[in-house]
Amino acid sequence: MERLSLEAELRKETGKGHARRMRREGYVPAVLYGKERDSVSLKISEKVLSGSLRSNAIIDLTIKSGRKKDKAVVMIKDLQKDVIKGHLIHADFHEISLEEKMIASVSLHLIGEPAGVKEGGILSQALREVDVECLPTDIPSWLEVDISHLEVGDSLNVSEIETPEGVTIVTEGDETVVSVVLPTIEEEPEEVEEEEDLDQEPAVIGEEEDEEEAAEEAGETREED
Amino acid sequence: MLMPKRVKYRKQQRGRMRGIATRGNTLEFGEYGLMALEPAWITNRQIEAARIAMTRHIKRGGKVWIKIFPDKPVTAKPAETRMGSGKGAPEFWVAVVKPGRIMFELTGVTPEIAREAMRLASHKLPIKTKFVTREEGEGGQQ
Repeated sequence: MERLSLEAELRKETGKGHARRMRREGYVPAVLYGKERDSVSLKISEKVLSGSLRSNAIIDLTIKSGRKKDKAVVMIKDLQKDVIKGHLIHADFHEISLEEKMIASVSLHLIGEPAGVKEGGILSQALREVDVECLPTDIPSWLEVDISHLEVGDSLNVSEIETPEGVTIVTEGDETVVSVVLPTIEEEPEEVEEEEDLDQEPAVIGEEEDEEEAAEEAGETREED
Repeated sequence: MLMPKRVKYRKQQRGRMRGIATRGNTLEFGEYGLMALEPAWITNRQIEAARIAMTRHIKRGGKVWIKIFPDKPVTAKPAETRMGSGKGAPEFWVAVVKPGRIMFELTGVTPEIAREAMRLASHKLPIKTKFVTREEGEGGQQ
């Protein structure tokens, strides 16, 4: 497990105006929280933070507040990114204890080419990360999954993933990780059908029931006659 | 052509398209995606045209996901009609798309084929788009 050290500053200003000013100056607003600590607002240089993003890295965080310096062992709990431009907006640091087990999500690396893909199937990966429970120092960087035996129509579940010692998977065992499916076959649309489609209008929920009721009532009256 | 099977109301008001997409802005199924960079109404014909362009280019390989659905009816009055006498008849269906929305996803092809397929698809759409891959399109913890 990689161990990094970062430096952050305590911040007193809050609110979107201050946050935006901070981002313009090259900082990212952040927050630090943990079991034995009240949450504190921080700011951290965007360059430093974006250059040290590793999955599940343990970070020795130094918090500067004037001349005082405080230290905490943390992990990045959440990162908010701009949807379009992709730059960092906010970071959550979670203080951890190195002696206590914790839950972390670990990415899955697929090994080998499935037999079904060689026959023309397509590999569809439904799950890219699984949650594992272990000590922070034991968190693997990734888990390897051998998929070379999968035929077309086969799938592999979470329960089939092998884990190193001291690591248990918390994600439900029956969840599908990968499956080999048949490729999309392009259908030539028939023009006649399309024309029909254009004329069609969807049924209106209220009116549909009214019509049914009216039809039923009409049926009943006929029976009475 | 995509359209709802049942609706609660036949006609809708136009609404606004302020802000960015807060949902559907990450790659969920595929390796590659096409992201909207502008707000727009994407009609069911445009979605279909983009889908056909994409599937023709990738031929028999790959899998395509359409992540937008045209669930908003657009009405129009007949040509040379005087104003008044109520709202027009429903003409077509649109999907309301905001910047950041992943409209199509693709997997099972090489990055070059995916990029070209998405480029062809983007020419069928009325907005600027961006090709995204899993590394770029992923949100949350890295």
